Amino acid sequence: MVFMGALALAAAMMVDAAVDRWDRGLRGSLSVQIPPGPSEAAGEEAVARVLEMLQATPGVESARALSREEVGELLEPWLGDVSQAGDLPIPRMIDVRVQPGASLAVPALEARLREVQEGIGVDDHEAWLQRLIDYANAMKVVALSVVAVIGAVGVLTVTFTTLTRMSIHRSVIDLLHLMGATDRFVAWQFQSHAFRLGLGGGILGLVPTLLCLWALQEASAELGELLIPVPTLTPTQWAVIAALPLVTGIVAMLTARYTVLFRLARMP
Amino acid sequence: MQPQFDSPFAVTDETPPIVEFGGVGLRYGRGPEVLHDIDLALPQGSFHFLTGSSGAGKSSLLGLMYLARRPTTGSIRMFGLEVDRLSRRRLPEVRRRIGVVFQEFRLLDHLTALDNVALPLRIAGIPEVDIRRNVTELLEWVGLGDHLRARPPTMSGGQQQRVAIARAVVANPSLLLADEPTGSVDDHSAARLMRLFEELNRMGTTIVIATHNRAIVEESGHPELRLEEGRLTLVPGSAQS
Ligand SMILES: Nc1ncnc2c1ncn2[C@@H]1O[C@H](COP(=O)(O)OP(=O)(O)OP(=O)(O)O)[C@@H](O)[C@H]1O
Ligand SMILES: [Mg+2]
Repeated sequence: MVFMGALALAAAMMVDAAVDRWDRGLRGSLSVQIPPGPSEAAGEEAVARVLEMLQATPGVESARALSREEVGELLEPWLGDVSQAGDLPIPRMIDVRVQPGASLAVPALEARLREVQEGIGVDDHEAWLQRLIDYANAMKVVALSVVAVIGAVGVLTVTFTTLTRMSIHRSVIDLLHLMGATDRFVAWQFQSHAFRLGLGGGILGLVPTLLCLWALQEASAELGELLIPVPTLTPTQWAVIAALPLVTGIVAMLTARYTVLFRLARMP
Repeated sequence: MQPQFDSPFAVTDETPPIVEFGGVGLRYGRGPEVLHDIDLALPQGSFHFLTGSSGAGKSSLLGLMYLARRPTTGSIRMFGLEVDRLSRRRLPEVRRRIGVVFQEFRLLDHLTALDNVALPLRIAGIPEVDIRRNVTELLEWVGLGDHLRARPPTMSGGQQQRVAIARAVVANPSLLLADEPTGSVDDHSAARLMRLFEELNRMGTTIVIATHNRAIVEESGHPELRLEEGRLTLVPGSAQS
């Protein structure tokens, strides 16, 4: 139970972290596409002029033209190996970093650049980024719902397990009571024990979870630098997951406490 | 012999009865009345047997004395306190002055003999060192020195009974209630247990023992509370007590 709950919680938190970083990572960048010109030399010149203009634009941190090889790599999934195609005209791309906090008027920029050459496009990733974020947020809602359901089931499970154990101990409760133990004393005997059991159970469930998450992070680290940042958990999020056994412990403790007090209240 | 935790007692004529019942009736739920109109006063330091056939209500009467339930009618005073009027929070301290040997022992199976007997002392918050010393001494005295670490399920009925008795007396109660304490032991052990009770009584403990064992009752000469169909009559003892 803890295992599944922790995984779902981790998933939700990972998506959250990823969305945040995609947002930050991509909002700071634009890309400019220059369609292939009449000749290679003209193309190079267009690229140089566009770069110049971009660097003179306020708010732009840096602008870098991707080499033909880099563009080829980007296009490879669609066009196959471009380098084999000789001088197939391919578009040129410029990767622009925007200063943090600055915002560029994309349409105006596009209009100015089009004076250099027809058909130049500026893409600020806004549209697809927004769709990605919407999608991720939906995933987050699903994961959080799973967390909520598993959490509720988990709380009920711990509650009922504790209740069952307490019914076995009814005679002990009665005996301690008859010997003159105060309600507090009797409740304490059971709630501290229940807390330890709940905590232990939670830790047992947590170990495979942590192993899974760790394996997941290792695996994604191997994928290396991708356009989309690899989802990871922050130390705080790790702490939240590690604290789950505390929750099971406390639920068990409170159940034991109130079962005992309820039982005791029936006796004079 | 006995561990002493209470202040020394003093028997005077003004001391109120340890147990005082006035017109007590008891029924379980909607069942028939099990005890009818019981009047009773047990002076401090007294020793009574409680007799009656099976189902006469002996255990029920003792249960009222150790505050397991409240009477359906009538009033009960313990140690001069009107326990019916006492708030629930004050009852634990009254219960701690009462030692009980339950008919079915009620030992905790998962605890050793030592820990079972130590229970009343732990409840009273006695330091652990004192607990060890007193409990070990007491268990040796009831002949269970070799069984300190044994758990009840591995002990014979007679051994369990002695653990139950040790637990009832370990905190030096003012009132000792024993329900068939000689039921599971042979005559020799029964006589030995009786000597333990006599000794506790000499040290001031008020004692009530429910029993079917006529021989013990006759031999001791203590007065007898006789229950017949839920009604109580007092049969004075033969001894010059
Ligand atoms: N918890 C209970 N609920 C309902 N009825 C009970 C309960 N305990 C005892 N009784 C009833 O009260 C009556 C007296 O029982 P009690 O146990 O007091 O008798 P007893 O004299 O101790 O008998 P024994 O010598 O067999 O121990 C019996 O009719 C019994 O059925
Ligand atoms: Mg009985």
